[in-house]
Amino acid sequence: MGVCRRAALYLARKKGKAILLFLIFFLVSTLLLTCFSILNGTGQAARNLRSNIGAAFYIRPYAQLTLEDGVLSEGATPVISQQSIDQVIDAAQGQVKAYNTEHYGYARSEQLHFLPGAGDNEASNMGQVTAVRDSGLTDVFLNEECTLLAGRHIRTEDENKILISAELAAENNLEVGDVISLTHAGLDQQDGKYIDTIPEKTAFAKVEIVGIFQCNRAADSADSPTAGKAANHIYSDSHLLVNLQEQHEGIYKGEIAFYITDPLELDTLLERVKVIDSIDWDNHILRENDFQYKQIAGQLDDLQNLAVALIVIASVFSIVILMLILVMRIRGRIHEAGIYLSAGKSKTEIICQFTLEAWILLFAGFLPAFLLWLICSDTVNGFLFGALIQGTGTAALQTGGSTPNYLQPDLLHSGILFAGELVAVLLTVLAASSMILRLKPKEILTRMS
Amino acid sequence: MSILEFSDLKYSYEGKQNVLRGISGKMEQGKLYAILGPSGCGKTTLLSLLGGLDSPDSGRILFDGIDIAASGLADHRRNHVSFIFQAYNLIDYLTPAENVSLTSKLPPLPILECLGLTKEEAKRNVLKLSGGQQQRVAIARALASEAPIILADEPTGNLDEDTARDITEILKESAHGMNKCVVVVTHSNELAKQADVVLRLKKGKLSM
Repeated sequence: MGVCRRAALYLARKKGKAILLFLIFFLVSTLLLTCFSILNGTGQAARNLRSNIGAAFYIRPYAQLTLEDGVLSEGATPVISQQSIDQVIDAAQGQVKAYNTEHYGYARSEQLHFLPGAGDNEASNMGQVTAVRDSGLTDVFLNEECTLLAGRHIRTEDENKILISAELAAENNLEVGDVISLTHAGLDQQDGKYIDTIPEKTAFAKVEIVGIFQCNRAADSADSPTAGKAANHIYSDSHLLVNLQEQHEGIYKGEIAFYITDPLELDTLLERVKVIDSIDWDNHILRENDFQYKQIAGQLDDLQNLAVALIVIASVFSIVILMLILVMRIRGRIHEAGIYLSAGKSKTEIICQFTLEAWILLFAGFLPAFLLWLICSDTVNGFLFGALIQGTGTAALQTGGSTPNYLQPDLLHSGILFAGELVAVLLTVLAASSMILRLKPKEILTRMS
Repeated sequence: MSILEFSDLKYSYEGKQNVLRGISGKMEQGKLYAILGPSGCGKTTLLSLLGGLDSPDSGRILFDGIDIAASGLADHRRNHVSFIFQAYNLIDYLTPAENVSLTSKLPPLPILECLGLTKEEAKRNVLKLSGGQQQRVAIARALASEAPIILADEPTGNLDEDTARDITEILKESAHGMNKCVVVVTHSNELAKQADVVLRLKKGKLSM
């Protein structure tokens, strides 16, 4: 009779002992699967969260103010070119997942009556235009200072599309999908009156309203001109101001925001950006923003440390319990080992049988533990990671809407864990069988009698 | 021709010196040997040495002319000898038939039936059999193996008189009918009377 058959018969006939060991393996496997999934999950969650939360850096041009002979004068507004932006993206080596440009100008329309501000007159009834690549990535929308009420955001591929405020839309009975004509304008003061610096209009553009937004900002100051009122602010795509001859293609006066995947790479990346010589660093400020990540990184570290501590405790506890149980079981089987030895079976064969029995029970315990964890992992995932992920807040930059299940056991890691348990069981059986290995057959038989 | 030959066997263990003081002898197939002697005289120790369960301090044991220490004690136990114990020593989670199959690939039922067990009894839990039936299973296990030597340590010690007589007959038949070399350690004079050769062990010395 071979080892396999003897092991199978033992498990089939010694049901109580087999069930007890099966339950222990089931509990140990569940505990270890949980701990390793949490450790693996926190690592994956950290990577995803870093990517979702991301970080940003900004290149902002600023005009140099010079004081000469008691007169304060402002130099020309510096600009940043598309070529420099491309160099920054190259330097980031794939880390930039999105960027946004800003350029500013003014626009008027015969079909649009802007909400009047201080000193409003026919000539100064205009609104400020912020031309962006993606309006969803502008600070006011990211910080939820402004929210989109209808329609959609300005996209990179758009041309002659605008967002207007709900107040401006109401004032002019406009809605998403309406098309109006805009022309260029410039604001200045002359003799205390606001004037349009471009009285002769040469550039016009038909624009489509693609979205209507509302802002919760503080009220405009009383001396704010019509163009300075928040309700008159228009967001447009990057092409509109070029079409209205207020911007050269690929030249930006506003801040350029770069959103990157991994906040941990931010410092290295900034070092690489700082050496790009096509940007005039005397007139540009480089600033970073990874505040949100740093807030959450602490929580993730705590969770990972907890998982590591749990794994160590669970592993030590499991090995000790298993060792004790197997030692007790195998000591109780010295008599049986003696009979096998006297029947000509080798010690190796006897230990193989004990190991095989334990492995079969380990497999039987591991399988339901795996299935149970497969079913429960989603719930535990929501409990552990749900609040953490909801707290990130940067919906526009997140890759998906729903919370991914970081704790779902995968076959590779579970297989490695199972292999580890097989080795641990083998070592434990060998250690527990040390008495059989150490004693001579006669000594075992003497103990038997 | 002797199948088992031992010469100048000496054995001591912690707490007891000179259990065996250089004993020698020869055993042949087809004979029933009885080893008699007072308790603690070394009968079981001698049986253990002959069966390869232990090694002597000095001296040699030859199976078919080959030193069992050289060929390996485990090999000797596996191929040359089979044991019968006073306490039967059956595996409790195996049926009688499965216990017999431990030492042989032959079908176990014919030999169990020869020894008086029914088919139903052969498939029952061994612990539910009587002492006599359990000893018959142990003997069946020994006989089923192809080993030419059977070493029995007080095989009738736990049995009533009638059953002991039956077992003695079976052992005798094993030696004479199956050409086995059967060595029995016993206190029973009845069994010794049935033996072909009686060896007496006293104060570490063996005498005929």
